[in-house]
Amino acid sequence: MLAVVILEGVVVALLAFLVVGLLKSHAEILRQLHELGQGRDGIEPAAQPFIGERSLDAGASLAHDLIGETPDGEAVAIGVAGAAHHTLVAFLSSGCATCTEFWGAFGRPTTLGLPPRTRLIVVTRGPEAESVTAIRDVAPADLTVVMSTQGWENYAIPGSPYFVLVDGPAGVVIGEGTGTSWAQVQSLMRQALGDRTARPAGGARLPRQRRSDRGRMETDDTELLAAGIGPGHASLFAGPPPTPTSVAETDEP
Amino acid sequence: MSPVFNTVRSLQFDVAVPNGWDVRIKASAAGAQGSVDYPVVHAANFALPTTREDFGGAVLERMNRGQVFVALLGYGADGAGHGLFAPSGLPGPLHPDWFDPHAMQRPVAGMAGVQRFFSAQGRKFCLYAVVGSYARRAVLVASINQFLAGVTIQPAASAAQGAP
Repeated sequence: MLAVVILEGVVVALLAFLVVGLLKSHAEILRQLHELGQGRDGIEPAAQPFIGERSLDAGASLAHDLIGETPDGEAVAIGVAGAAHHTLVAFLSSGCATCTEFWGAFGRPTTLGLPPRTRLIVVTRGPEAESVTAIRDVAPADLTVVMSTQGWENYAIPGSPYFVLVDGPAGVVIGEGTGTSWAQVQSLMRQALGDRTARPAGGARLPRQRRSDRGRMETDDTELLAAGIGPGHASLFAGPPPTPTSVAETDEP
Repeated sequence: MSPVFNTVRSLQFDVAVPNGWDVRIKASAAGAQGSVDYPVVHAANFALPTTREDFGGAVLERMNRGQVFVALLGYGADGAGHGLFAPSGLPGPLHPDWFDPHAMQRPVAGMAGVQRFFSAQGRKFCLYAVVGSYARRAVLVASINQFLAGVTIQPAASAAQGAP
């Protein structure tokens, strides 16, 4: 009897060890899928807002043309850099649940409300990494879809869904990020375009410090007005405060 | 902007893609060649729609005065090098005076086109090019010639299928 109990205990312990091992393996697989953007929800949209130009000074945000093939087997090259318009490149896959929202939205082009002179292109991974049949099933008929793993690599895409907004004439990325809905991406896109418009002519970007200074000046103005000091106030024309040196000189006997 | 063009390869064609251009290469099974697939190259300095007729139907109507469209259509080998297809090799550079508003497959006000037939690598081909403005053809034809200079027609047997 004792031997049976001991044997049962050993079997239970072995099974428990096996279950724990399986759970750890499962968790590791889920974690890696999540990192690849192929998990149930792709990447975490809330953690990836549209951001401004990505390391523009380092040349990392130069736009790349999209070269690959369509789900119908056409060889295709889409001019992005040097085009006369902006291009919103939507990196989607057939497997991510969040992408379903975008495939559906892109099937209603009249309600998309893209900014003027902005072209929408969807890029999936190439046929070696993505199901052509699945993409044919989800892609709207009039939507330009390019299957190109090279496109994902050129733009260093972390997962799907992910969006990159390119200024065609300048040939640079002006915004990128993700969202859970088309409305959210629209908002982020408007923000990126607004930031672009706010910059000085010639496409140069205001240094971050300059933008901080501008915001601080607006705050200072508000506080001064609240204290009754407006434009033309006498205190604004008083001489400079004494420097520590001059104070020391005054204090000297 | 980098002067190095990307290249798209498919169905006998190697095409260097100028900045800002769209290029698409497909196999078309319709038309006079019956069930035989023949290559069709469409190129433009604007966004090509997904649905296009071989000679630019559904495309040309969208063009503005600063835009150009090029179609290269491949046919079979029968009769290559003879009659209409006697000229050898891709025509070019094209001369602006060759463009004629009456040479359009379907006339569009203000536009002009040119059509040339030729043979290359033992097969018959047709080049059809359209400029969005007849008045500005001198400038626009220069961009077409830049595109054509980057097109290479490979032997049919060794043609690579698919994009690089």
